[in-house]
Amino acid sequence: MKSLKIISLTAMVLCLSASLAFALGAGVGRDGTIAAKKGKAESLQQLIDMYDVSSCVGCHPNNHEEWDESPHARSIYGTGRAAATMITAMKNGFMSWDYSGVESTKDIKIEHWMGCMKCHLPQLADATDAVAVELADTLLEWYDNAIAAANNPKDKKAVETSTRLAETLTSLNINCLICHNRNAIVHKWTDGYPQHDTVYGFNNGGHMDDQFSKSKRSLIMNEAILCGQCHGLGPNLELDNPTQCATAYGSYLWAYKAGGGQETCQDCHMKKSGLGHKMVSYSNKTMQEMAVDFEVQAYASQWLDGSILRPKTIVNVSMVNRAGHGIPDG
Amino acid sequence: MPTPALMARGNNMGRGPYEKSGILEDTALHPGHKVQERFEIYFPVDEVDTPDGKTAQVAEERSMDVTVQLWYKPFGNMQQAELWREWEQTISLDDKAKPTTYYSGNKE
Repeated sequence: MKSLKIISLTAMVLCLSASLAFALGAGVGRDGTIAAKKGKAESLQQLIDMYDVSSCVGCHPNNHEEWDESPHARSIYGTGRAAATMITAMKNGFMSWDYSGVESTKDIKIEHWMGCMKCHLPQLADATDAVAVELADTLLEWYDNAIAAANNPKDKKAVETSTRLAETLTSLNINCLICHNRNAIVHKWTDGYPQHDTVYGFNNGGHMDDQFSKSKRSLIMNEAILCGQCHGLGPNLELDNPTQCATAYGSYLWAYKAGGGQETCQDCHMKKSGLGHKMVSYSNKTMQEMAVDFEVQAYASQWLDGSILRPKTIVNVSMVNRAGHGIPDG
Repeated sequence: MPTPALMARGNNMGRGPYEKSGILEDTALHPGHKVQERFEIYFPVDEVDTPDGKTAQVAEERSMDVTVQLWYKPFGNMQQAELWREWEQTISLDDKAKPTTYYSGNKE
């Protein structure tokens, strides 16, 4: 009887191990990632805490300040317009489609969001479906209160709620740990899975942090594909209902590299521009200067249209795009 | 900029990322490619009587201020648009002109 119990227990442990392995998927070292070690986030706050970077700021204040001015620091919220677009994507997108399985926000699952969040919040994949619902409800509550506050700035409850929820949404972003850990390795079966205790950059060795005590070289930290994970080839065909946002990486590969271009995203947006982790684009004067050669030539000519005098100014404008992708992108 | 296709079918444009798939056309500046744009801006011309009893065509306004601006329009309109370049010059018909009267034609 005792041996039967032991066999049953062993069988159960084997079953659990098998189901855990199935949940994690293939690959050696996958069980060492942040998500695997901490388990899936069950609330937005848990997701924020899972990728908390407050310990980075003390030693890397300049990088943090630069990043804080970048769109990466507000990848869901943006200026409010991005957050409103997420709501549009939800209402006009998967809540309106016949076969999405979503009739109300309670039906929303993580995969419904990934059309947006693959890039705007890739770590959302490390959360449960309850977080997908919470995100939807948070966006809607923020929007309703933001509108109410805009219409009536004296509505204290609306102002307080919209401000508080905007802060929550802004805390969900593309931070240090997304580029320097979670998304730092693309070819995981070749280079290994990003580990929960390691920061990925340009060096191997120790790292002065209690939680992230190791540093390791990422072979793509200065390669365009690191950015290309989000900055787009075109339709995201891996999704059950493909979306399309950025196309810059596709243009980079097939228009810029195909024409002999040798720079990477990081070369222009971080190094040559001097922007570092701020890495803004079209709104920045330096990037504007770097992006385009612009030349104008104008002269007068007294054209005769049959027997009618038609003096005119002729303006010739010449432009060469010096960026590594089409301008504008979209 | 790229004009995205609606759900990758037909020739309708999709606006929201959730409905965009593929590209209908792309008016963007592409890397390394020289793009030239030519504009013609006409001076107003009046027909006036001349002392010899004929009529002549005369441009009373002899110069114009030309401004060329290059705008980056992230949403295809002026919302959050950025002025990237501006070029200004006054163009005169008289810079290289010689005195000439252009008659309107012989009166019957």
